[in-house]
Amino acid sequence: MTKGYVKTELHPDLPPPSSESGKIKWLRDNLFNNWYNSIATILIFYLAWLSLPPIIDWAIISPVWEATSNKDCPRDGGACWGMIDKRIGQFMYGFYEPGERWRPDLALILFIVAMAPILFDKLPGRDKAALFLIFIYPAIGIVLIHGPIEIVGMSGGGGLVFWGVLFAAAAGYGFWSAADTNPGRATLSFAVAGIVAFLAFLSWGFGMPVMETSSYGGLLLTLILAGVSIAVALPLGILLALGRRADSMPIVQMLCIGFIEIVRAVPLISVLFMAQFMLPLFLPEGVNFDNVVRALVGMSFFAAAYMAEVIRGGLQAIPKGQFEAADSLGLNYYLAMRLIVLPQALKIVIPGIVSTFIGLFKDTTLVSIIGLSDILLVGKQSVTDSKWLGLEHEAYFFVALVYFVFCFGMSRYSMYLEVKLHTGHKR
Amino acid sequence: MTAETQDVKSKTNPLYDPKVRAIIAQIVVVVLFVGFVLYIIDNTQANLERNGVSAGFDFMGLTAGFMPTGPNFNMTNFNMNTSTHGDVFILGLVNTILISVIGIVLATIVGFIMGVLRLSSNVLISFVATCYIEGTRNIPLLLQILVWYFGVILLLPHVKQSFDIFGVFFLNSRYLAFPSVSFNDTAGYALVALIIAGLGMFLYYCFTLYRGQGSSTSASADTDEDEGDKLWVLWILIGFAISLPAASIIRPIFGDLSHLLLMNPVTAVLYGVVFVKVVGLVTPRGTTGKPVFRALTGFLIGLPMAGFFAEFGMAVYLALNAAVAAAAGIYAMIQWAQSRLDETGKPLPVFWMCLGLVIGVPLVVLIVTGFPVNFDVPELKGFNYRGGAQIPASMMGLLAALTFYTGAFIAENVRAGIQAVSHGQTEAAHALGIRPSKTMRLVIIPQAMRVIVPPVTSQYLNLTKNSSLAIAIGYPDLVNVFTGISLNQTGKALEIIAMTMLVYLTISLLISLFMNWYNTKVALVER
Repeated sequence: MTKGYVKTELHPDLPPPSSESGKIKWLRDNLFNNWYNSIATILIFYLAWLSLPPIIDWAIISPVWEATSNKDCPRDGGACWGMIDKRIGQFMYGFYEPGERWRPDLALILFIVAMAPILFDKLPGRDKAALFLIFIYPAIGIVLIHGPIEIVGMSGGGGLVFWGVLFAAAAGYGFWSAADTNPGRATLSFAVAGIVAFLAFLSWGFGMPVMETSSYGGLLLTLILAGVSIAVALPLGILLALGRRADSMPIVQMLCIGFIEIVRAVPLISVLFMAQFMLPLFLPEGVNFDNVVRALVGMSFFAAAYMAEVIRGGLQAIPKGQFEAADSLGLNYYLAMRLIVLPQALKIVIPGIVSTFIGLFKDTTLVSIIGLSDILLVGKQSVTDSKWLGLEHEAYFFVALVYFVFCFGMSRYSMYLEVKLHTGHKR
Repeated sequence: MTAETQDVKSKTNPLYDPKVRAIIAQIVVVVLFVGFVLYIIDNTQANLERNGVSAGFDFMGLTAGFMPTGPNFNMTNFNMNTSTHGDVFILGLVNTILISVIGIVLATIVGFIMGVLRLSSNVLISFVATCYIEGTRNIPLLLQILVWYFGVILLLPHVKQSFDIFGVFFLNSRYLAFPSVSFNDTAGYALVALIIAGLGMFLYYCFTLYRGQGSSTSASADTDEDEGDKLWVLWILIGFAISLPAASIIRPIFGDLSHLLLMNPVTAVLYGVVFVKVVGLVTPRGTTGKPVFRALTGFLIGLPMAGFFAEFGMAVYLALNAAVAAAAGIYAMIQWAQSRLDETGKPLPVFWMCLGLVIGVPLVVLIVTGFPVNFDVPELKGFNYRGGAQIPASMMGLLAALTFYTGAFIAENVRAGIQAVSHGQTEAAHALGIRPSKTMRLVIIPQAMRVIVPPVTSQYLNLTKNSSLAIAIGYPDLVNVFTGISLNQTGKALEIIAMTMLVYLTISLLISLFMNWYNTKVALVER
């Protein structure tokens, strides 16, 4: 019954037509799927053809990489990266003593090493790194970047005796209480001993020379401002958020809401002005902060208000059952918050915290208005130097690049976290 | 059992009662807070005395003696020899509001376009939009302002080689000159016509509502509530609309005293009380209550504002009246068209009707009165352009930076809002046979707006606050001229910073009031 024209086997699958597969289909779907998209595609290619080559030529192909003044850079040539090269020290450290610049470098390296296990959970030692960052790193950081802060003079051994006696008393009392099986008192005593050790270390500081804050500048100052204010803002923000949610204490609630809303309603520059002009009025005679500390105070308060709102968002996302479960276990407020609520709430809002930090990082540029030489002001001033007149584009391009690398990196990290933390309700 | 519990309860130390603890904690906080405030006040007084500075707002009346703005950009007619620090404050406030409003409009346009483009099916378009958004979002605004100002605008050609755009706009490194429009006195009739038309429309709508309410006494509670809901915006508008004529009546009668009468909260409350009485007489039973207080709110906001704007002369004042009347008219028309749609199922071309009201009516009157409008085109005379109006370089730079920076954030909000509407909505609309263009307009956008508006409002607030960065390039905004120069001249740090903060606080409060109103209006009604 077989006939010659009837096939006995299936015809093998043919590849799809060339217009429906591979690169051509991709082009058709994504670039030329209808007439206006086709026009737009061609137009964009044309504009890119017009604008990209000159920019690439300016930035990469024909710039002057080494220069001693703007005379080495032809006016119609490429960028004058020689200027950045010559002033890179100022861009990074401001007027920080060149011989001592290893100190902030070391502080930064320490910070990165300690931060790595916290940022990427594949690395070991996360808890230890966190403890180190919270309790030990502040002292090391201050001592490295600033040098010792004289609380009680170290010179002549008098301070050594003072701190030694204090530490011995606290630690001894702690051991005695521990032997006496009084864990609460022992913990407290050891905490006091720890604080004493912290302060003693601050006033000793390896006897390194003190770097005045007025010499800080460039990226160093930017990082100090952003880092310190976020470090202050996080705990302060948690307190404010909890205060705002404390329904049983209307007065506390009112104070917290007032602080948060007022600070959030006004521009940062006015907060900085306030720190600059009003803070000295508020302090008793003789007590005075320098400019950097004033800016730090202003920025910390500002960041704390925003942080409080981010954390409140997290607190509101915790189901009421969690609070009730904590109550039913007999946990008091402090323990319930520390063990049950905050770990969950903070985990939810980590992306929010990162984006607040990005905002804060960008906002540090505002200190240039009150005269602190952060990286933006260094860039702005570097072209007022008669040697480098007319190089605004290079200076701003470089500063923008630095900010972009930091902010874009952080926002990508925050997106990575969002995906990673999105464990609870994954479909 | 009960006896035992009671027994236990009576034995419990009151210190372990959460309520007692809360009270004690609050007392401690209050004591600490009050102590802290007293300590600060004490320190401040001591410091002020030591520096020989006196507190108080007397400085507002002192002659400023500096010129905060250029001669080509002086909207409040600031005069160096006679104007006071109070005038500096007004000038800064006006400039802040000006740049915020223009910036908000431009940023919204840029943001919506970019947000939609980022969702384009053309990968190249969405790539370009993404580059724009990521590029601007990740670079500090201050840097962008400086780049626009020093890197773009100051590098434009000199005045003599200005870019000539259509022969009426002239762009150079110092300013953008453009033709100004001036109206003859008779042009006021156009605004008067708009006021009459808008308010007439509004009153007609109020009348239909009133009649509807009167007749439908047996309507269910549900519709009553609905009507009440519609009425309350209306009451605010009524209050606002009435406050303007009220101010215009008070002003000529009392002359200089009108400052006291208009700008004073105490007298405003008095007017408000009288007003509530009147409204109470004319409104049907059951609608007095909350709406009246809303009307009062509108009135109380409107009156000082009217007094404030009356300072700028009849034209500005009339224009403001017209704007309010137009808003009321548009509102009435939208509501009226909606109720007609509900009753008859026939849609009305609301957009064209509104356009006809806002542009058509004044235009017709203008043509009838012989088009009393003069265009003053700038001309190069000597070293400068004369005539027309000018936008200074600092304003261009600030505006460009604010627009593109905020636009990037708005674009992200728009994208998120559109993506938040589930695709099923589009499919359902198509299944019902609704055309794609109408699907977007009637199904997707209204649902997306629910998600878009709250974050975009806070972006507006951010833009307003960020306009204070004007100080970096010398645009004469509030922070620059008042908190900057006036503070340096007078040394009144406390007063000036407090006033600055109060201004921004007020703006932010108004914006968040709007946001709350909108949120409750569009909130999903859940089970």
